[in-house]
Amino acid sequence: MLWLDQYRPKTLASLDYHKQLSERLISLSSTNEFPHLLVYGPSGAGKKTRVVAILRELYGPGSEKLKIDQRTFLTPSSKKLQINIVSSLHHLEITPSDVGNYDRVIMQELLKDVAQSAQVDLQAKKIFKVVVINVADELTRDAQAALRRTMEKYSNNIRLILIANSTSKIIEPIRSRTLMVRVAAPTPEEIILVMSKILTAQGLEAPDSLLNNIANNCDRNLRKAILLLETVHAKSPGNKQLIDTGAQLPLPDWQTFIQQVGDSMLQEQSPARILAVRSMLYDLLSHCIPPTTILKELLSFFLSKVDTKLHPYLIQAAANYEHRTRMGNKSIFHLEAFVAYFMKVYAMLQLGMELPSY
Amino acid sequence: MDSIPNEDDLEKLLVAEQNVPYGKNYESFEDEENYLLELRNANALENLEHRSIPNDLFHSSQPVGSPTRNGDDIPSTLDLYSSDNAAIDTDISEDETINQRHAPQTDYRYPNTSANPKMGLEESMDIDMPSIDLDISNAAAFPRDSNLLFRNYNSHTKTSEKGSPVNFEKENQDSNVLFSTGRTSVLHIDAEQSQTNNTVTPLKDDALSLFSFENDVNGAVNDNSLDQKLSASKNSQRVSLPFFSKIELDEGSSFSGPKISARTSSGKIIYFPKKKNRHSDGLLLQPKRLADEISQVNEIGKDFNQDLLNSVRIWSENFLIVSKEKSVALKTEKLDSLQITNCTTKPQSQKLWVDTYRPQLFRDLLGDERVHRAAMHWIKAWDPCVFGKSRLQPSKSMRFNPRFTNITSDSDRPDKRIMMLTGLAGAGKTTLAHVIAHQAGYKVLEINASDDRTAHTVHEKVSSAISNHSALSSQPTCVIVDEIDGGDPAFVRALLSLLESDEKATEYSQAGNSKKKKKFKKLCRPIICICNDLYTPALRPLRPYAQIIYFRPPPQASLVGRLRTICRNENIAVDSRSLTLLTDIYNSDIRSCINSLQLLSLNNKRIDSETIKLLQPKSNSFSTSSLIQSLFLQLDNKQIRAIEASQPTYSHLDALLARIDGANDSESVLMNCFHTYLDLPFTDSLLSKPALTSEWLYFFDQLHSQCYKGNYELWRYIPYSIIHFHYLYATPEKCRLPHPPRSDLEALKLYRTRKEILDSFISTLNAYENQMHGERSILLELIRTILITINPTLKQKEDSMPRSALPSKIEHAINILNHYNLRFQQLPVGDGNYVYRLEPPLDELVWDAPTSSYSVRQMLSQELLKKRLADIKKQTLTDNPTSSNSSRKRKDFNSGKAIKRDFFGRIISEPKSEAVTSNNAALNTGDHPVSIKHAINIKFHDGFSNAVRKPISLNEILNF
Repeated sequence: MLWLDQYRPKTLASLDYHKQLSERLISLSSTNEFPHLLVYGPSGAGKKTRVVAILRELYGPGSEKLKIDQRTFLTPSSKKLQINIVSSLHHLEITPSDVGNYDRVIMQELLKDVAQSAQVDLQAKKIFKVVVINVADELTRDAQAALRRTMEKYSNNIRLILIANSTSKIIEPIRSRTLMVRVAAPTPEEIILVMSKILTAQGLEAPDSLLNNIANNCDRNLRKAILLLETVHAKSPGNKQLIDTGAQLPLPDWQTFIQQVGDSMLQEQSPARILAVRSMLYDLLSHCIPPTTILKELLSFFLSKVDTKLHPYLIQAAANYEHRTRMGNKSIFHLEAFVAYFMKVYAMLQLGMELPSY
Repeated sequence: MDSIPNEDDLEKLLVAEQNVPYGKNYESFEDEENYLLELRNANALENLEHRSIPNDLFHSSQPVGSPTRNGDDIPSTLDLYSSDNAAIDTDISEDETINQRHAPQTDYRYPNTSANPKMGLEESMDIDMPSIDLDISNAAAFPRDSNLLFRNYNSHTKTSEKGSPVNFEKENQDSNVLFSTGRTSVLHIDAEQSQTNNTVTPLKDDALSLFSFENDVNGAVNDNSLDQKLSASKNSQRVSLPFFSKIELDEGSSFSGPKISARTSSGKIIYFPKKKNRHSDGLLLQPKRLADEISQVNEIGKDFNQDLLNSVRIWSENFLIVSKEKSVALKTEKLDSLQITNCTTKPQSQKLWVDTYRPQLFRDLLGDERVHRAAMHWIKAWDPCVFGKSRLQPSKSMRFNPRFTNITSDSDRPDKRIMMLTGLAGAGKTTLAHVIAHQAGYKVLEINASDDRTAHTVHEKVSSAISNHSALSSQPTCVIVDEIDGGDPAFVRALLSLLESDEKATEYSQAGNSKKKKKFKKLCRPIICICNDLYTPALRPLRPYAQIIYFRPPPQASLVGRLRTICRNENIAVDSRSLTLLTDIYNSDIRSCINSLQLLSLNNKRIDSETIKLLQPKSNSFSTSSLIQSLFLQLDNKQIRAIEASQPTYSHLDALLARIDGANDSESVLMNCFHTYLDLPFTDSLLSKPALTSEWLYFFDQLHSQCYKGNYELWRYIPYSIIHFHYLYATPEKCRLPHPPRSDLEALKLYRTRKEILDSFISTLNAYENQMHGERSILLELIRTILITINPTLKQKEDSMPRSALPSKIEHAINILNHYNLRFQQLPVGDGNYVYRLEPPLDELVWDAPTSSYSVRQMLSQELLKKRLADIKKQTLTDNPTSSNSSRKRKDFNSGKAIKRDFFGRIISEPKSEAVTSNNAALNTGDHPVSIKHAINIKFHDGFSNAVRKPISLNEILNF
């Protein structure tokens, strides 16, 4: 097992940072009045770790006995949908965004099934079941609207825990019905502390310069930091002392590839270059990289390379084309549209022309 | 008198030229020669009989006196024989008359000259032979003439009809003449009046022959003959008509006049002296011989007769030979025609060459021999279970197949219960499955995609085949499931349940629990699965249980050699370059190549490169390519006016819209335009046109997605998004279309393949990891780290590598491989080397996948095997905790030693010995510590290598 999962804390008391948050969650779990939760924060902050810890606090060690079900749903247009559900005796976990635009059907049917089977044992610790909804910010608007009535109608039997990166995509009625719990990203000091713990458990030593380098380059993402540490361990020469070779930390290869795409767009702006970039975009799509990730990574690359005058134009264009990828089926059209728009605006800036109003 | 025959001669010549071609004249010459031969024979015999001197002197005077008549005689003879029917009839009648004349002669001579019996015999022989020959020649010639006459002129049938009564009358005439009655002569006169002029000459000939006969009888009376001659001449002078002259001749003959009277009349009549002159010529020659050689009369006669006989025989033999040759020629022609018909019927009765030339033996298989040998080895590993043979010896198997040491196990069956053959179509997978099953002694039960293949089929066919012997044959059954990736997923699940029950039965049998063992059946027969796409979602649960064998297309050289052999057997002329081109077109697909050859051979017995180039598939469909060309073509004003003039309310843009709307697949038209427009030369310094195109493409994408959701009424607006290409990018020159756009399809295929690899990896994760990690974080973050961790970097220098440091890195890698159910699989590369490939192939999900050396991967693979065996050991010995603890300690001790040895520089060879020791340790139970100590001392140095090739007989392979 990777160090990431091997050294993951399982209880709220054993968490390494955000002590005050842990204390509040412990006291919240101990009462009988557990509200709907909306846990939000950046990636790698430990949102899901805390949700699993909450479940353990609510139901005890039994919540860790998990199984995976594959449920099949039938849409009104007679299309079959399959979704994986991780479940225990006390809770369910679903990721509705896996089925795309049909998440409303799944939400309605699944919650209805869970709600109809009420708890009969009056002496149980909790009389409600918990449904964890992962990546809630990717739910469609119809699905979020369907949740409004369900949250109110079945609140006696079901408690929802939504996990999202950002609250801007959650509609206001759902935000008002949930208790919003913010999990902030860890500081570099906290990341260094966690890495030191892992190295001690493994019987390894590393210089402080290496730990500082990892902590400062992982974008305050603890998952990324731990994976980087494990990578450095695998690549370092064979001894118990990890050596800081001074080399740059390895980026994920898909990020490196997207940066190459950005470089080729900056070098030349011509139809032939659009054609060359198209084949690179096809390569990214065939490697299962989501088009939204491609657009975000390209945008962040350009923001660090291009004059600040272009930043508003690029941000708006990226948002616009990301919206179009969700509305349509062929993402290559919209990725290439972003490429053409960038080349046009960049060429106008190079030629000293006045930029159009956006 | 002289002018009339001349006119007759001219008429005959005209008739002959008109009626008879040159060939007939030639045939008439032959008839003439035959007649002359006959006459000479007769005259020679007569002259031999005659010995009176005055007759000789009389004959000699005639030719000297009439040289001019000889000149006249030649055309007259031609005229005589120009009429074919008359000539033939005269010949036949003359034969009869000759026979009649000779009979009384013999009677006459016999009582008189008893001293010369030999002469009589010779005469009889001479008479018989010519008549036979003449009959043959006449019979052969007659039907042709009649046929020719019938074809050319119908009027000649009348002459032939007249010919037959003429013969009848002649016969009566001869008989009547013999009786010499006056009344019959009157009847003859009446008949003669009806005849034409053509029939006059045969009467004269008959008269001549009869007259000569009478002369012989009344030769002594000379005075009486002179008086008769005078009276005959007077009568002829009085009457001017030839009719009357004929009457007188007949009367003369009736009065039995001698030659003298005929001669006097013939002196005045033209025809008589011609033949006499010929007779006299013959007579003159022969008497000289007699006078010169009187004493040798018998000898001279013999020589003369023999010469004639020989010449006649030679002629007849030549004729027969010619006739035989002609008949032989006819027969050969018939045979040729028969052969032609046979050739036309043969190809229709032939069956497919793919079936005719299918390999039946192991040595006939095409492709990589090691793949075939590996498959054979797998099916032979079933022999202890099926046939009760002894186990395979590890040393022998490892010598030839070191990469398949996993197949050899402690049980009587291979570890992988199912073999999966995967590869492209036409690579020979099904053929290999049948050949090895048949060679190993099994009866094949094939379940194909076209058969009924459901879960019910598994229970009916596969289960019964596995558990029972077939009633029809004594051989055990081997199940071959063809096209398994295209079948029903329920089939795969049912097959999987068989394997799972087999696993449980094996576990319970090893644990000694017989009660639970009865519930689960054991798999006792091999099952071979064949598929094209290994990474179909339906096959995901089956992959861990299968021995996967990867098929590649056969080498081009061996395939070309096999095709050349087939062409030689089928008598087709073809060169290697053409066959190489054929294999290139079909990408070494064996089935397609052979079927194409059979198709071409129906029309051509000689195949060249140009013929094979016709098989290339068309690159573009006509309608779509022409539509796209017209979209990117800017029309002249004249052309636009012409279009608008023909239909006033119809513009060329409407025409284009109608064509786009009429296309079968507007999406393919748009994708073709999308892939083409950036190659066109358009002037746009700020790239505003591509930006505008993106808006139209977004419009199309919205409509298209709505149509997929069921709103089909928006379909009518799709052509308007395509027409914008004409506005923005049309050029006056015709654009050259590239190859059809495949990047979109190829990207989709690669996406599906990699998605399937990712899904299969996620399905192996446990619930906790599924709980904590989403699909995106696994793809973007976890897989990269896993790949780096399982490919650790190790330096070769011993000084910089303390022993205590490496175990942590290596153990970590082994733990990750074991936890995520990954393994390194050894596969052959084309040039004889081996690589360790990760299974499932997560390398394809990243760019620049990290790699490690062969030795490191080999070490990790061996260590992983040890760890898994240890885990199995733990599970089996859970009931005996004390013994398991002791075995754990011993294994730790062994593993410690093995790892230490690696750092003395023997990284490559030591892991194999470790594998042997680990196998021995696994085989032995914990209660035998002494055997473990002995196992430690084993050093195994053998290995498979292609450096030195060794010939192996098939018996060695089969006797594993």
